[in-house]
Amino acid sequence: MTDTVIGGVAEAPQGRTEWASSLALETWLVESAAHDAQVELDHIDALISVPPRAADFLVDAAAVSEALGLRPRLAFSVEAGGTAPILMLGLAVSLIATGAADTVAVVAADLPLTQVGRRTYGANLANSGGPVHPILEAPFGPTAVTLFALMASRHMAVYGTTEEHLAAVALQDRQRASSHPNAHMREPLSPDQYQEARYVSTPLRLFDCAPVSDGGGALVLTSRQRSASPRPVTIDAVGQATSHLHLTSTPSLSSFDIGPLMDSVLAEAGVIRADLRAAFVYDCFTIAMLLSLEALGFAEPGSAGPMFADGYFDVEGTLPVNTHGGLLSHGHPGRAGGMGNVIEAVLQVRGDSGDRQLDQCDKVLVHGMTGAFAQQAVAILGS
Amino acid sequence: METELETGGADPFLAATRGGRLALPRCEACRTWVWPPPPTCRLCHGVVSWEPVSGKGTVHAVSGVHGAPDKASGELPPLFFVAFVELAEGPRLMTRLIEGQGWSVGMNVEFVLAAAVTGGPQLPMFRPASN
Repeated sequence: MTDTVIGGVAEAPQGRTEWASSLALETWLVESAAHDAQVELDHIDALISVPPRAADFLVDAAAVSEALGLRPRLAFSVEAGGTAPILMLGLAVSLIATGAADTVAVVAADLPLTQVGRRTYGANLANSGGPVHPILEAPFGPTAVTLFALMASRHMAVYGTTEEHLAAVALQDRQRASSHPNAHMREPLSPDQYQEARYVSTPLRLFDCAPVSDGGGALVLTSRQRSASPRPVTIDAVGQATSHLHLTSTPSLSSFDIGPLMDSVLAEAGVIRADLRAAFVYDCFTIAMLLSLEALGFAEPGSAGPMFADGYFDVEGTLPVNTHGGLLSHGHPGRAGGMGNVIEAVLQVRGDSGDRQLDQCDKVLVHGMTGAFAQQAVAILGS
Repeated sequence: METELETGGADPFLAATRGGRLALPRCEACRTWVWPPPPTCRLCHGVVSWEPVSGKGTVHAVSGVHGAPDKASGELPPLFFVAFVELAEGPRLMTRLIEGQGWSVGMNVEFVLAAAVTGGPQLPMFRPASN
């Protein structure tokens, strides 16, 4: 159990947006999160950000500070892929625990859709700054999608996972996103539409892949004592694990177990998996959802697909996941991917998820992932 | 030799396919095959050198890469198959599968040198095993 609480959050609509720059979006998010936390902007004494692809500042967090007219004691940006939003929570916990900072703002936002372009963004992922190894993998022509397609190929061969199991993830996420005002992909998706969509990289079809979205979110954190928020959300435990960087170096394509990390965060939070009311899982692809559920120990290896298709992870099931629609339908805003999971986790614990609100949602897990399961991070949040 | 083993600047596939045969980095001390090629053995930090391998392996995972349709014509680029092949000696390489069809996990394959793009570098690829 940590002493840090999340006092306020902010989220922008995900999808095609009209922000003039990623900096404009970041500053709006930090201001809005501070307002939500009932914190004066100039009380923020540490600012942590993820450097967006849509901008190229020497230090993005300093650019955000400058734009807001802040002179924080600490400002820095982190490079940790889809684990960055959760890693930033962990950094805030450390800074507040040591007295290095009193009030920490974290922000992750990007405009890959309107400022970079879908095709350029996808090509960049396969060629530079993406999960594909530039020398050992790129010459053979894989995209980021292909890396997850290879995991799916292996998982199907080893465990008998099917395309119907993948479809179940895509359809459930879309259904959840349909009632979320900020979600990118809200129009209904039928099983036939899923089935008829083209293959991008077999066995993954178009709707097995997260869209390229603009968007992001921000949080303001402080100590339990200092918080002015009427409904602070506690960070009960947080941690990150690194296993490799490139898929070529991973010991297994079908299992990315993080048992030791899960053991330590569950112990620190003083809970067992059955105490968790919901999980927010990094699902940049449908197969990533199934692999993550198995990595987190919510499903035995090979069983996530059948369990998902049976509704185990739906809102009426045993462990609801991604009530916001996940990266697959809420959106995947470039470098800010995974921030949506954190925001929805906070909103669910506060009881602010509107039509999506789960009953008695007092303990949840949020999960992040980098590249091709290179890194994973988890946090347990509570009320 | 160590500069050739560094993945950053050197071309490990040039070293792996010199003379038209497939060779892979192996630790001289603990005899572990180490791919991707590290400056020294990842396990015991011993000296690593290139040793010939059989070139026989099995398909560990495979994906047919369709790509996105051309914006103007709507046509899809040519389909190709990216795979991980597990060699008989143990290491697993990302590669392309060529000269075959109906690819599936577990199929037996053998090493062949080929270019991914016309005029491009010769890379270690795999085709259906001859026997």
